[in-house]
Amino acid sequence: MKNLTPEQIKFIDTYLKNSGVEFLDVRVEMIDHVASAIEENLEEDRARNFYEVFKAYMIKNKKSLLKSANSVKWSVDRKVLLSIRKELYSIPVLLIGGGIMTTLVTIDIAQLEKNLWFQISCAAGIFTAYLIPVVLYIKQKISFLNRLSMYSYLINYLFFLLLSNVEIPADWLEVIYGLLMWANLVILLTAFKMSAYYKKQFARL
Amino acid sequence: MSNSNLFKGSLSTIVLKLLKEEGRMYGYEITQKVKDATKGKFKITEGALYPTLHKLEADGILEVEVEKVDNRLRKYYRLTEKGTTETAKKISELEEYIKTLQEVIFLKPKIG
Repeated sequence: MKNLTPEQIKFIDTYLKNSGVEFLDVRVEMIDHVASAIEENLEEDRARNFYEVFKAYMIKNKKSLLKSANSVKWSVDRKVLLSIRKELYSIPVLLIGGGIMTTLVTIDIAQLEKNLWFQISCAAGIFTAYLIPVVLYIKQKISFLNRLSMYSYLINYLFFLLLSNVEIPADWLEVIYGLLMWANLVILLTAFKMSAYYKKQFARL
Repeated sequence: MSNSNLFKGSLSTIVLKLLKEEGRMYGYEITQKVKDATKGKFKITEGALYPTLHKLEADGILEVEVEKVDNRLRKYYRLTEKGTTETAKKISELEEYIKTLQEVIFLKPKIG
């Protein structure tokens, strides 16, 4: 069987990208599927060229392909939530989180909260934790990192609403800040781990 | 037959059974294997296959290996340890279901 050339593979890739298949991990699978089908069709009908077979294939299957690409969100969400759950009690999170919690308990956070530099440091920390999955997604365009960014935004926004709109008793402030740090720590570690995993997987592209 | 709801309901079991037999497979290979095995009666569309594979992967039933093949990357799926147990369970459930269905469909009226 004659294999498609790198230029023909690139053509399929660009076509799928322009059709809205944005995530690299999803597109890689679609490219292989379309290329395998075209190679088989070319073998069966040697009179036709790549572009004729490609056009005929897309007329028949584009809707189903895009449906498949769009439905990936739900399974990715599940994967993200399971990864977050797995990371919640990992050794690095327990060690770093434990250190942060001990520090929070020993300091007078109610007093410190009024300090402008503390507020700026907290805001910068939260913003960085939110931004890192976003930056990793922009660099890699992987569905997992896209959905993780969304969860990171959601979690940080909920904490922001809580801290800025609710009068929290001083005793509970340590718990709230501790949970906020813990959540961001888990998101960051998940983001770096999965980014490295996908980088290794798709490095040969 | 390709759009049958009966087929859709058992798609994940068919995929798991194939992976149990073949070890590892990629998406297009699965569609062709099903088409050949059923002499074209069952055709799995991309829109049905990939969401099933991704769901099984998210559930930890399948794991993925990516390899460069013929100028492109290919995602191979294989059963995890949990997946092997789950496959045996699903096949047994499907067999039981078919047996019960046969009993109901081909129910013979009692005489006397």
